[in-house]
Amino acid sequence: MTNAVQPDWRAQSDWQAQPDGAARPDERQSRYVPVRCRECGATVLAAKFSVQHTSVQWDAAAVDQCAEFAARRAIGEQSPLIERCGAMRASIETAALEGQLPVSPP
Amino acid sequence: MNDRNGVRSIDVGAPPARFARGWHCLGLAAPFRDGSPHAVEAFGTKLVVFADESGVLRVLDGYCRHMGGDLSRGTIKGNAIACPFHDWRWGPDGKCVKIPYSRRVPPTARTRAWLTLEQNQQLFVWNDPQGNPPAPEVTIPRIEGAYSDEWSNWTWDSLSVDANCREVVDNVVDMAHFFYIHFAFPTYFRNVFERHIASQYLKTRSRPDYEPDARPATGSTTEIGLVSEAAYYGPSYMIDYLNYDYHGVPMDAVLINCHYPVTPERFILQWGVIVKKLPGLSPEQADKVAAKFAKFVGLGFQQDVDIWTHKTRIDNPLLCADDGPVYQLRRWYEQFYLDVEAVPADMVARHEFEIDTSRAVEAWEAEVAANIAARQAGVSTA
Repeated sequence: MTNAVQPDWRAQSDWQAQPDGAARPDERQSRYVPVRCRECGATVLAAKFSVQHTSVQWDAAAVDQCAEFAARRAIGEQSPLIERCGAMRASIETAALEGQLPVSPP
Repeated sequence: MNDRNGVRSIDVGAPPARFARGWHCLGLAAPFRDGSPHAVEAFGTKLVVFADESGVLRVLDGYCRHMGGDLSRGTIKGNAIACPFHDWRWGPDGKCVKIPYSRRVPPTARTRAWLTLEQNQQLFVWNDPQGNPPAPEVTIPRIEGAYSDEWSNWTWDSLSVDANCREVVDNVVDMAHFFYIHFAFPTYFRNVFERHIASQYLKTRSRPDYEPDARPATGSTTEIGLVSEAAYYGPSYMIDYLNYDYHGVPMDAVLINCHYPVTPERFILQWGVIVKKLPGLSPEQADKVAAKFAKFVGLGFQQDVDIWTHKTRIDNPLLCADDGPVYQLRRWYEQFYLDVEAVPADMVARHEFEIDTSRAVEAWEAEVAANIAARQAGVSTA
């Protein structure tokens, strides 16, 4: 495994004791690693099952820090309705190409 | 999750004990303004919808607090709904305003009034088990086409489904079912969940081996593209902005896919369509185009319903690498079933998931080609 940050939403790894129908974690073992945006420095956790597949977990601080989201919020858009940040995507693809982000099928 | 023999077990779980916090669309607003009260079975009870003197739609609990009469079978009298049993009059704020045969109204004579919203020519009610009003940021957004002469009127359809409404929400992440259930051919599929919004970005090709009106397929290789940007705003109201090929002309459409729960094991699924008028189309022709598209959508939903009413609830889906983020979606969806103070920040933090469709496209191209070859062989020997 990597030295990736292990936030709470991944910490539960067993199937037992999910209270009251609470949502379970994805059983597919993803190797999430931190990726820092080369444009604005916002940091997310990213995983790739394959070259094309991408899963990205942001936190509120990263969404606030993202320069592209900020520019679009300034013209009245909401970040949940923005399909992606181009700079973050480029940073993730670069991290995968350079081997910092492993491409690892579940 | 696998037993001693390595067999995977299904955890059926149980539907949630409460109903989701959020705005729920009850349908187009206009039909509720016909001068009569209307019954809506929702949220484990019966509601009454009626228009007050100024035409504002009001929603109250449907059962009279006096002796349990059904207000939806009563009469609108001024700004109040009158019970058919003893003529108790209930005002828009839920207070009993008059009991004609009594000298006074008991001070406790108050029923539940539901917060309402009209947007996009549709009526919404706010459900919150905690009784709080909605935060402004969770309001239902305006659809410009719903207020424009350049667009058709809404179609509107509904189906009652004997299943928990999580089944329809799961569709947001279910790339592969578009091929098997809706006869579409996804080539691009991406989800974003953040705060109260869950989005799906989808591109599909047509299926040359399948035509929705069941005519024999021609084997034409014309690839009718569809681009869809859909988002749930809260637990139950999805706006889907679509662009698709209509006889070689790009067509803009908006599809509403919404539902409200009747009980934990039943929901009413509703859908409506507007299309942007093509140059030269009369309003009637535009309405026909919308109706045709809505019919196609309805066929798809009927196939969904057939799946949902026969499948089991499953809390532990077994996913492959090329499935969507079912667990992350359900975690997003869970926010609407928790007290608002109890929603953890990471439950509503932004999550993005883009499926690698390359393997699916390869497999489906082969399947489509085989279907066409089989049809052609059948035709030539007939």
